[in-house]
Amino acid sequence: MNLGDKFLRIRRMKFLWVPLIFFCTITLETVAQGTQGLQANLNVQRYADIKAQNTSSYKLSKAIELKGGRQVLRNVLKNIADQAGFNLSYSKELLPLNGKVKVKEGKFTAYDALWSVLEGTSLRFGISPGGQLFFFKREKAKLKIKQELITGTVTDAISNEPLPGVNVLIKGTSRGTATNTDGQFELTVESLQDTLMFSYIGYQTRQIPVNGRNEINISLQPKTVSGEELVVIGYGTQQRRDLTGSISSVSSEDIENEPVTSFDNALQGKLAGVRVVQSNGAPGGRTRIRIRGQNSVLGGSDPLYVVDGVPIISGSSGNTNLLSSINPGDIESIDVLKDASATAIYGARGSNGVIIITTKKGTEGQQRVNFETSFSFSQVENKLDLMNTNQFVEIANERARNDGAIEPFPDPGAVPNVNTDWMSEVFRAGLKQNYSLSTSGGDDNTRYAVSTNYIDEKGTIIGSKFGRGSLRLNLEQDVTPKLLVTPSVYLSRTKNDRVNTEEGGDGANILINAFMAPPLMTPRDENGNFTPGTELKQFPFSPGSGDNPVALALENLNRLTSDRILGNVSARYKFTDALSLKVLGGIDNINNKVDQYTSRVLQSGKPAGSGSDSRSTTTTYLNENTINYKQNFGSDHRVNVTAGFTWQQEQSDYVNVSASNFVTDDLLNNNLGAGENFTSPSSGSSEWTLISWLGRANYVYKDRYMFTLTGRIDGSSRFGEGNKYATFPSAAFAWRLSEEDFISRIEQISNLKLRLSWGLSGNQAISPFQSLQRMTPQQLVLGQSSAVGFAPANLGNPDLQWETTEQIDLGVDLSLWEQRIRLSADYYHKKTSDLLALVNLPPSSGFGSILQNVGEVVNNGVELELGADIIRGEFGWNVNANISSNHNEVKKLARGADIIAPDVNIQGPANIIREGEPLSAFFGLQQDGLTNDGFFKYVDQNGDGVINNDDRVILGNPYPAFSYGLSMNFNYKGFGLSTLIQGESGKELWNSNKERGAVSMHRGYNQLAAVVNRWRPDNPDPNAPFPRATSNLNVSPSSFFVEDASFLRIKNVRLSYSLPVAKLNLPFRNVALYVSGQNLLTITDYSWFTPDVNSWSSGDLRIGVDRGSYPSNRSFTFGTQIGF
Amino acid sequence: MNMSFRLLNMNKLSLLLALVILLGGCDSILKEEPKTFLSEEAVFSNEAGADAATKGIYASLRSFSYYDRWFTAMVEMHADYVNGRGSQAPVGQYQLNAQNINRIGSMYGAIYESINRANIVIGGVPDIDIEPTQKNQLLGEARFLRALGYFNLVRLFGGVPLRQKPTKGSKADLPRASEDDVYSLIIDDLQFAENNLPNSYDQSNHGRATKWAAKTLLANVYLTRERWDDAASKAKEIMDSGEFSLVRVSSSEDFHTKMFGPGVTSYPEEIFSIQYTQSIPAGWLGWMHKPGIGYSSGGVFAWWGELDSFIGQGRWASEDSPDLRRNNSLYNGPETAYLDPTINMLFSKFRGSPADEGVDMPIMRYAEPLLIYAEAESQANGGPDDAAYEAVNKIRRRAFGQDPDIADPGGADLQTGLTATAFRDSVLLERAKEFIMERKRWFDLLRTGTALEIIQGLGKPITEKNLKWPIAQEEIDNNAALTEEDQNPGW
Repeated sequence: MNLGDKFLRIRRMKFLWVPLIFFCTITLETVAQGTQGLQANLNVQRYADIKAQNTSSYKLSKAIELKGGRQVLRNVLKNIADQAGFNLSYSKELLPLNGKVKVKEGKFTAYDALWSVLEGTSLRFGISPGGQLFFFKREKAKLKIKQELITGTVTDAISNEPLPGVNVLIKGTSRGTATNTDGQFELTVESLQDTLMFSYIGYQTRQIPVNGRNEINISLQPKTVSGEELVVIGYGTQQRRDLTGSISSVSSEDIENEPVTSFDNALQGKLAGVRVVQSNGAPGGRTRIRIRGQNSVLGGSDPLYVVDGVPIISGSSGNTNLLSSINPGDIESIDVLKDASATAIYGARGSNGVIIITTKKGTEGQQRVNFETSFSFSQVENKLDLMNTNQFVEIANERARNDGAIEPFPDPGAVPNVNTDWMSEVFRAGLKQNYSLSTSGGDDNTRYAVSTNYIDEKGTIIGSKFGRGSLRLNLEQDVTPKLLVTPSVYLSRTKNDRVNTEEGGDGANILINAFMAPPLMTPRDENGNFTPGTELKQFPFSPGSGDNPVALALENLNRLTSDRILGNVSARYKFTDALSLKVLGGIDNINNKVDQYTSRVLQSGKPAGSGSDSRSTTTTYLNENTINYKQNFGSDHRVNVTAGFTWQQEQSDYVNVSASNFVTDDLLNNNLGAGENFTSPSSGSSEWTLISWLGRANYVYKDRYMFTLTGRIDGSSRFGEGNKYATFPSAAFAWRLSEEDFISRIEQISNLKLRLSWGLSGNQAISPFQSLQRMTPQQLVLGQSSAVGFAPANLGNPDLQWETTEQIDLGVDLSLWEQRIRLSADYYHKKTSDLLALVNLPPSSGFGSILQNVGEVVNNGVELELGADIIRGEFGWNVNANISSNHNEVKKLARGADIIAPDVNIQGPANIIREGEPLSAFFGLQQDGLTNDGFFKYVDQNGDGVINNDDRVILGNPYPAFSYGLSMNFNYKGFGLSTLIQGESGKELWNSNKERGAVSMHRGYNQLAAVVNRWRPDNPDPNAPFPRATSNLNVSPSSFFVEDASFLRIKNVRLSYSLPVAKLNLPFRNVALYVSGQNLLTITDYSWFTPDVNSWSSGDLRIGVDRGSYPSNRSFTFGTQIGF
Repeated sequence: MNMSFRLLNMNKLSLLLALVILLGGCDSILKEEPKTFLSEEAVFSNEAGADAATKGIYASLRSFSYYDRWFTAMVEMHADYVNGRGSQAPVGQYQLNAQNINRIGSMYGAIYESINRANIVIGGVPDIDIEPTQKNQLLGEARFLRALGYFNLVRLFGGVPLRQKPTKGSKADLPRASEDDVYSLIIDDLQFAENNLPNSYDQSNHGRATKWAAKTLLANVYLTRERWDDAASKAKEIMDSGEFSLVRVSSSEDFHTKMFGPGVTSYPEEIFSIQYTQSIPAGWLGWMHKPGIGYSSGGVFAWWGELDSFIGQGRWASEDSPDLRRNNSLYNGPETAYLDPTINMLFSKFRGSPADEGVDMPIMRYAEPLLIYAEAESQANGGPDDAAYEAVNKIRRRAFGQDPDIADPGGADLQTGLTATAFRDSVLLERAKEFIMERKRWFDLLRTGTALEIIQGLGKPITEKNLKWPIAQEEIDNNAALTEEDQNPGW
């Protein structure tokens, strides 16, 4: 018996030398009996990306062309299926297939064509949940007994739109039908006591007892976690149930729920194992994302971002987040690859995790126009209470008395009655406006999505501002049935007016200077001129540096204008249903211009202003060529193999020119020629190249046992001469226990899967050219003029290579009660070795250090994600919760020597990298109250009677013991309420601000109002929270600055209402109104503004330090969405 | 039917695979082509690159930790005539604290950085296709500068790790060599240099080492090694060459305007100097001799004169001294108002104004071979002959504003009939005055073995350990060939 002829699909497979013996066990009856068997046997995985799962209904409405005349039925059906893009499945035993039918010539929709062809036969068609077109026999005989006609409409429970192509089956039979393009169906049943099963891809299957009704109108809930939805993995997609790796996903709704400017902010609290710290609250400000902990010291721990297949430029430019140039509204889904099975396909860039962003595509047949606008009003979450004039005068005098100096305000009554609240002077109400217009749709061959977005945001600190305009065009064109071409272009411009709140020294930081300014002085004089910084610092106790904070915010132009072009074109050619080739070309180009001008009003602009114009360009080019082979061998074997070659190159350069001493401030930096002094211009250029071979094989046996093997070979220009190529393998196994008899008997369990993966991934941590001995220009003088020589700037290391992370992941996925409860738990252990470090050399080598791969860091942790549809139906209530815990430990450093981070601008460093401790643990003296004189009392750890650096100990951990998020969504009719609660527990922050504003005026700054509670000569309390007021205070980096920064935050609450447009007879497809609040409440013991800031940027060793950081905001948003 | 279908597909597949493999086959894609700097290979691919690498060695002399600050500061502050202030005060008292030991450590590293740059040239130049004279000139310059580095090291630290090849990779362990081995490399290098360096350079290369620089340094090395005959005859070669002559002065200010001031670009006495201009100024000279900036912010008064030393003694200290060098080298100008009134002697030899710092830093000038000759000739012969007297008297006559070549018995000229010892003392005193602030005095005290006696005589607590400075702690920590035992005694 030639089983190969049983199915068209099998026949196609024949040449692929796969043993077909497994098919012997399939009886034809099973197949003929209908959909259930077919679903299992022929679970076709289409070349679909995410959107395609919804396309089968539209395929039915696709126009096809038929030639007239009498033809073999089977051939006609195949022709229709091919043109409409369906995979076909049927049994040879269906006799009419070989008969001839009369075919009308002309153009029809696939749906009409099928009906007209099958009309005179005993066959009917259906669409399987797998998206296949199948046929079954109409059982006429039984129809004679009794016929009850049932009609009805099936709609989408969310959008209320009709769903065409939904399978309607009479339970326990193979009989059924499918809904038409209007979502309507007609079905004859034997009994009105039958039960109907409605199934549709991407939606939850529903069983509806007829209960004597003749009309059944139902809605289907889209499946949120059903196992069938496609997850974007590197270089392909996969059904969630077939995954062996650990991947967390966020949908567009999750992103749209929050009015974020940059999509990375919307990830906060949503995913287990993904820690998002909003480094500052500035519009367009940075975030810091760590997936499963901090891996690296020098190499960076930021994840790789991939947009529609193109690894993009991320990070920050100054304090501007480069990701903020991407319109979050364009994002269809974000998939976060976490374990080695998932990330190894990204090889030398995978070890920090990969964040894959898929943008929205058009859908054929659904012409849509959406307009959305929102307004957000914001203010800082909390303002700090500073001392008023009376308290200020009092502490200033007390400090002088304590120091034996003359009181600066001998007659406090004579102090002008001015009480400036400098916090209020630098903060304001922020306003964000957001407008989006998008349209999408498509016909038979072309699908498009076009969107444009404009956002304008005024930050809560005066002078800070962010604006973005963007335009996206995503196209999909079926050039031929075999060739799909997908061009995509994204253009954006962002403008970010930055104010100094980060990193910088005291001199320019606005929030630090709000402390510097005495409350008895005003920001401006009666003529509206700024009070000069020198006047604010006129007192004997005044700090040496600093300036008028209001002037600093308004008179210091620091604007980044960033233009981004992000585009790609891919072409996918299907050689056969199983084998395809995809070629992708991509580009990401960022042009930055930083305009900087410091006016003469500011001390740093003295005497006559200084300005600069800096421009930089970074461009990454990408070519990817992948082949994919995806085939099922009988019902038991599914194979999916991807292999490819990719090439990526990034080029960047910059130039900076500056001048000072301008005749006027009016021209700002627009004409640097108007300056009298010029500094030498600077410029530079850099480049890296990465070529890679990659491969992945997935094999699924009996839907139960899943194996994934992945490998990538990366050749990187950044690696040393002797180490250009790196190989990153991974292997994973998953076992769907729920497919085993002993579990499948348990009705409550709908899915149970165990996952196990191991693999290596890398961190291409080295900046370009680091491995080379770089001979750089050296200036000297010969013959009374400048000459240039060349000399090594470093000691080259040809052995320099990637950092390697080895990761084991053990996971379990469980869903209960028809996916009502969905649980995913993972344990992982990550070991990052070959850590990049500067290793000291003997100075007689001529070098201080060499960059080497030494050291080891371990991260291990557990993650739990829980989803529950507590109530389904008209009133819906679902919950998604996640909690994760990561433990970070430095295992090995070069020669075991501590690495002490740079100073945090108090008297020393706050962080240390030490074996056995978390990376960048807090470190310093242990404070033990105050001495009897009101000075800080430090613990003499080594008992040598001296308090010095040898007494420094570990003081805290910048990483949380637990991070968690809880979101709840309620739906009733058109109303929706969603909430997101997020928090971190068991972490500390180094509050460096206290060294200015909470040390009893030690440095002459104004103090927190709470400092009235200090040690005083008339109340010498050694347990007072604040020390003696004195200029001679013994301030050292100590536990005084380490604060518990655990927090729980109501991050987002959104109430929305969708108007019943049909009832109201409105000319819209949908209209929704919403109001939402962000950061409504934060519960924390942290004493400053925000408990999850991070002042220094990503690559810095100073982690978890708050120094004048831009606070986060509380905002209220009003928005509307209108669809046509 | 199926067969043909299959073949077609297999062909397509193999084509695809071939494409993939072809695309991936080029390693050259991964070769980094630097853009803002040069690779070592690129530098040593041609003469211009080799020339630039050689200039890179000269640039190292300007390093903050080498001549521009810490080498100069530490060497001068160990001399008997300087007291430090502020953070350098302990150095003047020979009680080095951690901060100043670190400064010595960074200076040690900076000298080796210079030596490594020289080693790179010495290792890289021979393989380049250049005309031999030119090649040997570059090698000669590199070896001269390497010798200068080692000569500085061996005198300050004793035997040090003797690196003769450019450092590659992280394996950099090397024990300390003996002083003799270090000196034999120095002499070897300088003999090569004197035979291969040119007489002089065109104007655009003024400032590079000539054969006379090599000979002067070699004479100094012989003098230090007490090879009196060699020192004298090497010095004589320079004196006989006719290439150099003493600058005539008629006032103290003439030293400034004709030799040391910012306006001077070259002078007949110059043998080897580090060159500076206003736009590319000297770190140290501007810092040390920039009047008008307060002590606290500019460090301009970081040093003050030790009046119990030779600068306060005898005729040099008296206002009516005929020695014109005194008022050029020392001052107690109006800026002393900033200071403790008891401090009344500062240094002004290399003064410039804040906007005008193009003061060159002399490393060797013609006065040196003359004084080397005088000392070595006398030491070799057990006492001074006329030529020895004439050499030192030329310096003295010029210092007194006279014609160096016209004898002035009873005046500028030294008293005749001195013993070898007395004559040597006179020459050493002459060197002290002539080369004040030119980093020679501490080395003179070391090589003559008089440092302890003279400085203790000033009431300062110098001890034996101050004569051999501490090797950088980083060297001992990171050089597996060394242990704490290898540290100089007392540190």
